[in-house]
Amino acid sequence: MKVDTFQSEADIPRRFGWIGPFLEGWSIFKQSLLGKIGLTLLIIFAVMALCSFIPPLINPMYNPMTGVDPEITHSTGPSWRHWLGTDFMGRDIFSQLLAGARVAFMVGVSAAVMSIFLGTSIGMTAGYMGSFVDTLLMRLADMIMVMPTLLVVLILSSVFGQLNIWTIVVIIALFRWPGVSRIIRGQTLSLKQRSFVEAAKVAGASHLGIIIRHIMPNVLPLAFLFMTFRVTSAIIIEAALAFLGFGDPGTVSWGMMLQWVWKTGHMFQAPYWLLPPGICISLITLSFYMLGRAMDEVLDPRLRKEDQGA
Amino acid sequence: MALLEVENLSIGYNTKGGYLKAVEGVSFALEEGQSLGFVGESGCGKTTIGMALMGLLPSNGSITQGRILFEGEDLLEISEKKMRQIRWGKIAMIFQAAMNALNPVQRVVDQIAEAIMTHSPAVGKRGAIEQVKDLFQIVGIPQERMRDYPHQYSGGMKQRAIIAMALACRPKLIIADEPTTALDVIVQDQILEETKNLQREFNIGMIFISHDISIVADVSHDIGIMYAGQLVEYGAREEVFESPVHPYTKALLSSYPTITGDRSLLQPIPGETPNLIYPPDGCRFCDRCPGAKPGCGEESPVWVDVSPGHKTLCYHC
Amino acid sequence: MDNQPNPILQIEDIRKVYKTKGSVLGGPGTDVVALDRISLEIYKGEIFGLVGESGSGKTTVGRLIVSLEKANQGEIFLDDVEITGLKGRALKGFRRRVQMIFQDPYQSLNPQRSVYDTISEPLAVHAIGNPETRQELVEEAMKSVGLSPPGDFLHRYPHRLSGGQRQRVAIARAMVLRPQFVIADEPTSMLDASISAQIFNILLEMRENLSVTILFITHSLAAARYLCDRIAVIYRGNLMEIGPGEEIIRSPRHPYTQALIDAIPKFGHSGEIKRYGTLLGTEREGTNGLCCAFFPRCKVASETRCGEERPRLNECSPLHSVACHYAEEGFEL
Repeated sequence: MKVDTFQSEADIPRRFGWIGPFLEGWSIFKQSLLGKIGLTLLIIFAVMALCSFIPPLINPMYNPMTGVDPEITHSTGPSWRHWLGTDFMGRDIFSQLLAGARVAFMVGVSAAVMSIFLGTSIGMTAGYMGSFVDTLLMRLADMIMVMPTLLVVLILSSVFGQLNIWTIVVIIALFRWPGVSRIIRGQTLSLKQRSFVEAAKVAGASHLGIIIRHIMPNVLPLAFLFMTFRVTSAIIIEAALAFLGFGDPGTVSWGMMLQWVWKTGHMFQAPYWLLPPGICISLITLSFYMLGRAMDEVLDPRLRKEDQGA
Repeated sequence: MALLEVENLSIGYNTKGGYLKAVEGVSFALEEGQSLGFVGESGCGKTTIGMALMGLLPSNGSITQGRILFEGEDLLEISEKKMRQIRWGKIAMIFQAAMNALNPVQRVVDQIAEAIMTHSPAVGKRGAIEQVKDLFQIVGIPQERMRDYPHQYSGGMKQRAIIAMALACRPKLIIADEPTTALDVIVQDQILEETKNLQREFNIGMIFISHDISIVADVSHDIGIMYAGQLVEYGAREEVFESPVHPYTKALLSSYPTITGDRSLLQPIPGETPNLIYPPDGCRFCDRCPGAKPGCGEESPVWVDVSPGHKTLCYHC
Repeated sequence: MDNQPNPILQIEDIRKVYKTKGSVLGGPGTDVVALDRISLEIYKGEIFGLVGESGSGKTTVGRLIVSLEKANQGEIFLDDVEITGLKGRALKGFRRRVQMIFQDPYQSLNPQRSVYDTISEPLAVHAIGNPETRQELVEEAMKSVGLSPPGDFLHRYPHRLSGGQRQRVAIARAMVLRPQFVIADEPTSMLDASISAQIFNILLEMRENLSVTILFITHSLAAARYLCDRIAVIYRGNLMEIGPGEEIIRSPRHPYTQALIDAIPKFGHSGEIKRYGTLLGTEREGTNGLCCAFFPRCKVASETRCGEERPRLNECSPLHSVACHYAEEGFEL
């Protein structure tokens, strides 16, 4: 049915043209309980990550990796001196937790950005070019998609020894793009049929121009949505690797903390040590997931529609 | 007693932008075997009226005032169970997106038979299929196409199947919402001709809803012109088309290209339809009306009788 | 227009076949002939109407002219230059001269780009002017389609425009390059009547003020009659009749055109209309691939002649051609 929407809001200056859609999206986002919880949790984690630099400045013994409390030789419970207790070497668990938040953001966001970048560009290329390029790229995507990421990283690290945290990030990115690229390709295929793309062609625009001006702005929101889900999976993979003992020994991640708990046999003796990183991993993945779900609602065109019926 | 009497019906939708007054103060009556056409542009509320008569308003829509008397019974007062029996049993509808109203994975004959059996379980499967055979005869689908799937039908045949389905329970009233919008002109002509014959034959009351004046003019006895949620002119077809009174009706008629008469410059209506969340005070057409007078924007117009049965919502006509 | 018509666009013997994929369970794909060796000429400065039902191939003609699709056979000339094989810079130069207005204004504007972005894109593509002059050109184009004052609309996004406003933006985009030839593919089929009339009048003004030639593709004979100097009727990929608009409406010669006119619901001046009654009640089988396209539904047709030989377009009076064996001798029903 033909619907004529007619609104008469004040005009927004050109350079801030995105503010209108953004405010509209924000008002939908605000209605979502999931989104609000997710965002609150994320802000807490972000504050934790930002604060991770403070403890070592107060006292070198609070350095998460190298700082050792000289008075302590074994794992102790929470005290005023160590809010969450210490690990087996006398390192402060609270400062490790803060450092872990920083690593989680780093790993999650950078792996997600890389895999989304790969997935989006490959998906757009495949969808726009079509024919054999499409077939080739999508078969490649299928091949990678069926490989279990965790297993491949395990094999790689047993071949090459301990992997650096950035290597792990790159590997996660390389293995997590196919899902995104499939979705972006589908979106591109449908956009290619829309007559604004044909209008651009008739106007003489080049393929690159069409991709940049017409395809990309319309797939980017979807790509951002998938980024939140990819962050979740990247954090989980990194934690699993670290817990299994294939993490970067030079960084303090929550997975690493869990591995220390387990390796030193404190699994059932030191809940103050086991629970915080475990809970943090669950909560941060949950919060990104909830954020994604809320963004899904923001991007859902059915919810954007102004009037029904009439 | 009229088959259907609608009195002062008002319907609104809760939308994100606010409360949208889709229909306001609409009254009309339909005698048995007669047909009534509603014409208006998109967003004028014509589809909403059809949905309200069927009791199928979307969840964010509500009827704020008025009565819908069908065979003397107020449809807004009766239980949902009773309404279900009336719906399809006595009031049937041909939807706007008729093409999509058929289930693609079920044979056409089975779909219609199922509709019959839901309303009168006594007939049984075999009896229902017999009835479908008769219906297909009536709407002009060849017998051998009965067991086809919907995708094997052309657009016109799908539309005929939909009409057969609407006729299945021998309704007293059929509401046809843009019944031929997606069809080519030759098929449209055939379908409209068919519909007129069926209506005469079975003495069915019909309400046609369309944005296309010419279709409504072709099939309806009475015409209601709608603008921005209000009925603005109502009367017999000949009266409304040959001596239109309301400025909107006149403007609408002179914005249609025709193949008859002189080829004169079309007079488009300037501007756009008003926002129904914040409808203008006074006459809703006054912004676009060539004959608007100073008072038009302040005072709500009232119904004026032009001649018996022909009335208009305008002060100055 | 002067008496000596001056063709700007010539289509010669164009054929377009779409291949459909076969089903998974065997069965080869079938070829659908969208256009069956069509030839026509469009004269400078006229509005030419191409009228047909859905599936008649009318949209394909437009898409072939702007090179959105390639024909299987035949040639298209713009100002005597063959255009079907153009590539690279020559193609880009051609793009500047021929533009298209699409059917659905809800699909033809990028929701992520403002009115200014949309209308200025062709200018940017062809590197015309600098940002300031571009804004002037855009505002000028907007005024010419009735989007004024331009400042009110320039920075709006499509979701804040009504259907009619969107189509105006689409027309402004097509016109901003000052093309010689514009294809309007059912530009009003998604719009309300009062808004359609506005669009029609904009197209008429365009022709008047910018001396552009327009190919108007439509399913509505009434709209074509209103806008067009000449009308061609197309049916299942075949041209049935070409002639001056008023003549096609008042004295159609082809049985299909007559059936179309019969089918249009009339109101108001119903007295003067006669019914031709050329449409066959039940379709008959087409004898073979050679029969007239309208043979299965034509009451006039004869098995021996129309069923065996496809009629060619023949001039029956100056400027008026009909593809029917019985057009010249006439037929009575």
